[in-house]
Amino acid sequence: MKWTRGMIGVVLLLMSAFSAEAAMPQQEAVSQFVLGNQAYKEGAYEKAIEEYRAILEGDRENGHLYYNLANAYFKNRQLGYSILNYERARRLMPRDSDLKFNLAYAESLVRKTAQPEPAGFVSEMISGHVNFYTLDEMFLMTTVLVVLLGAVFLMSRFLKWPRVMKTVSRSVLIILILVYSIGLILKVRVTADQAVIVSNTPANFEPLETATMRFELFEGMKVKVLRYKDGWVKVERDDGLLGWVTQTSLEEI
Amino acid sequence: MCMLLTAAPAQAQDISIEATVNVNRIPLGSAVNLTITIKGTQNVSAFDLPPIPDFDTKFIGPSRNISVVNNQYTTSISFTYSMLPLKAGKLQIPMLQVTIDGNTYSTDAIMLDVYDPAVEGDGPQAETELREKIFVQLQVPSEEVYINEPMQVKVFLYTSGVAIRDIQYPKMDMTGFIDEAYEQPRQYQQVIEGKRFEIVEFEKSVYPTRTGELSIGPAQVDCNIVMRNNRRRGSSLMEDDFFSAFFDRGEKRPAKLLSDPVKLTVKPLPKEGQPASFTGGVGNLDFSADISPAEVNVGDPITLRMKIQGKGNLNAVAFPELKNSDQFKLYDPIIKEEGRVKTLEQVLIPKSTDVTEIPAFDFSYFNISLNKYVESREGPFPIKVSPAEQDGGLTMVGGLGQSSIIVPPEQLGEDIVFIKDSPGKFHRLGQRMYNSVSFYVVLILVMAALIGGYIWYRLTHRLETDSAFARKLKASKLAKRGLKHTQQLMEQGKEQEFYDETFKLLKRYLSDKLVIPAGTVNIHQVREKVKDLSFDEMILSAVKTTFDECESIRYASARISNGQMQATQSRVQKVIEYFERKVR
Repeated sequence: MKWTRGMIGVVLLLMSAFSAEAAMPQQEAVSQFVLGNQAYKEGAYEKAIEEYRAILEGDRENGHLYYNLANAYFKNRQLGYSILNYERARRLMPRDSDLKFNLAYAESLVRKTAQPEPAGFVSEMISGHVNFYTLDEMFLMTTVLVVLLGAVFLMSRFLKWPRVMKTVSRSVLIILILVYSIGLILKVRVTADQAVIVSNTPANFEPLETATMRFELFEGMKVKVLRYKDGWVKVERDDGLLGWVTQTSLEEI
Repeated sequence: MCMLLTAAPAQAQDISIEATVNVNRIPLGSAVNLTITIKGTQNVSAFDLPPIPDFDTKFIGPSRNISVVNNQYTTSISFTYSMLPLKAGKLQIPMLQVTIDGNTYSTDAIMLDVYDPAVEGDGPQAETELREKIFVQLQVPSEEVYINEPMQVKVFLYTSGVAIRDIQYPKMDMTGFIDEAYEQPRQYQQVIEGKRFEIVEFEKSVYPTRTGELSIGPAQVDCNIVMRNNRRRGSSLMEDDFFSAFFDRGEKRPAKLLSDPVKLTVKPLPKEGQPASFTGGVGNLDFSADISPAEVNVGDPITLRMKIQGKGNLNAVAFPELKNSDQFKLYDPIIKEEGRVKTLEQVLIPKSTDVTEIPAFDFSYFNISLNKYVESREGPFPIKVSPAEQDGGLTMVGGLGQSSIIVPPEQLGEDIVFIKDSPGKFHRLGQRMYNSVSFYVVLILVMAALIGGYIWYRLTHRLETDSAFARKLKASKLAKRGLKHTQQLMEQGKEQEFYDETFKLLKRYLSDKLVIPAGTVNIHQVREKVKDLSFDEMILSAVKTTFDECESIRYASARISNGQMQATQSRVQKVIEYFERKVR
């Protein structure tokens, strides 16, 4: 069930691809970026945010932009938006050390409701693998490996490889394909519908102002979006608790 | 003087008791052995002697004895005590009573002559007490002191004509005082009232910690007094003085020597003239402070050192505090006290370049000899704080090569890393490789190439390994070529050659197509091969007709019209086409 959901996620991402509108020219985006940096250096963080956002509104993005925007939000004491944009940057440049540092620091400032359980070695390894690549890289890796498997299969036929060589090369490739395709599916599953709380909010039992509060969500926390309904969002917290929050209190990554 | 002894039921022997000493005349400072012998029983346990005036007694041990005299069997037990006379003169060991099994027995009194060896000759003995030959004195420098005033307390151990060993440091009651460890004791001789004394002097510093009437002492010195054993003197060469001394054969007798206590009046310090900086120091103290280095960058440490030394209650003295401490990041000071010196080392880190000095430190104490408060001031220390170095160059800290530079634990700042300067390449929102058309085009091409490669492989592989397949595959090609050739022959009107070639062509084709050995191709074989394929009977008969026709013409060499050749050609063509369609 979960796997099929993952696959559907991949397909949806593929379909959401082509929306052609005139995007901001590359040159303009660069100058906007430089303006934002200047404002940041002068300490005018709100202005920097504005400049950076203009690029996004011009339908342009990249990792550096999200990173700088997140920095500006951080300095402007908007922890939620800061983490949101760090996360967006992470999807584009997951191995950037500055980003990792800043995100970790920003997350350390998020109010914790419960001490997270220390991750086991295996889950640590899996999340390390999943987080090391961008979705694109993971996807490319999987396809390249599949193609490579085909090529190796052909080559082994044409060149009449010995049986051992055939078996070893194929099983290595198949294991790698499994590793990457499972990683890919996990990544799609994890990243799909992730949202960051941008303002402290109660999570209610029902999508009503008058409903009983179940738990509290703090700025910067990450939740999973399950459903939208009339300006309310059903979210799932890390520990599996569900609740309804207003749509304005979170933003999807 | 009575002793009740719980003895086991004694045999009905005559019990008698006697006391003896080993020597009757001894010098003061020596002991005699008193032996109490009980005859007639051995079932008596050891007992302590009651206190005997002018003597200090110590039990040495029992001994059992059995003797046979005139067939009379006698058992006895003796208890030996060491008796130390406490004064010179004629002393008496009184009668001692021992009760055994309800009967009381008593010993005779024994007279002892104790003389003072310090008095020359055998003249009339002055009454000399042992207490005058070995005693302890406690001395304080003054009976009136200020609170916290350091004073040297001395304990003197005097001995004359008495050998002592194993002297312990004096113990005394020090309630209301803080005391330090004893200094190394001194030993010397002194003649007091014509007597030569060996003196051991102990000294230590003491501070009264509360006011009022206090008392020190009594001081107690534990030691062992070495007894001269008179009994054996001169009895053998081996036991002369030299060997006695060498083997330390003298008997050791533990002694507790007590001094008189000393009374003290402790006065509070005068309130008037007490400076604000006073922290409780009393004595004669010297204060100094310094810093290093005086020029630093922001964030670099400055080491502050302060020293208080001299005579005084160092452990009660506090160092002055830094006044503008909010301008510095302070680390915990390290305070050490060694002998008469107390030091403080503290690391300060100036928070900004605005800090220009470390303000002066005021220290004051009450000087005992001047009887007033004394103030001293160190500093202020000007410092120069430069902005932190940008290029991360090396900065020498301290620079004096001290081994005691304190390395403070590094406190890392906490903030985010700076923004990215380079914009990088922008792409459209949400534009990813996995949703770009070109990627999929390339992917499809690559996959197609792979599939093509595989098909190619299968084909070549089959051609290599499956000759039937190869022949089948070749058949149509050869047939086409053959038909073209026969067409040419027909046009040239070479009817003989035409039918020759047509016959060969058809045979070859059917042999390849139906996998029949080339020599055995006939209509029956063909029928057999295609019986499962629901073949058109027309075609089979066409094959038969063609075969028959070819046979007859090849051997009959009759004149054949062009029209007949045409018909044969088209029939063969039709047959091949049908086979191509039908047989795969």
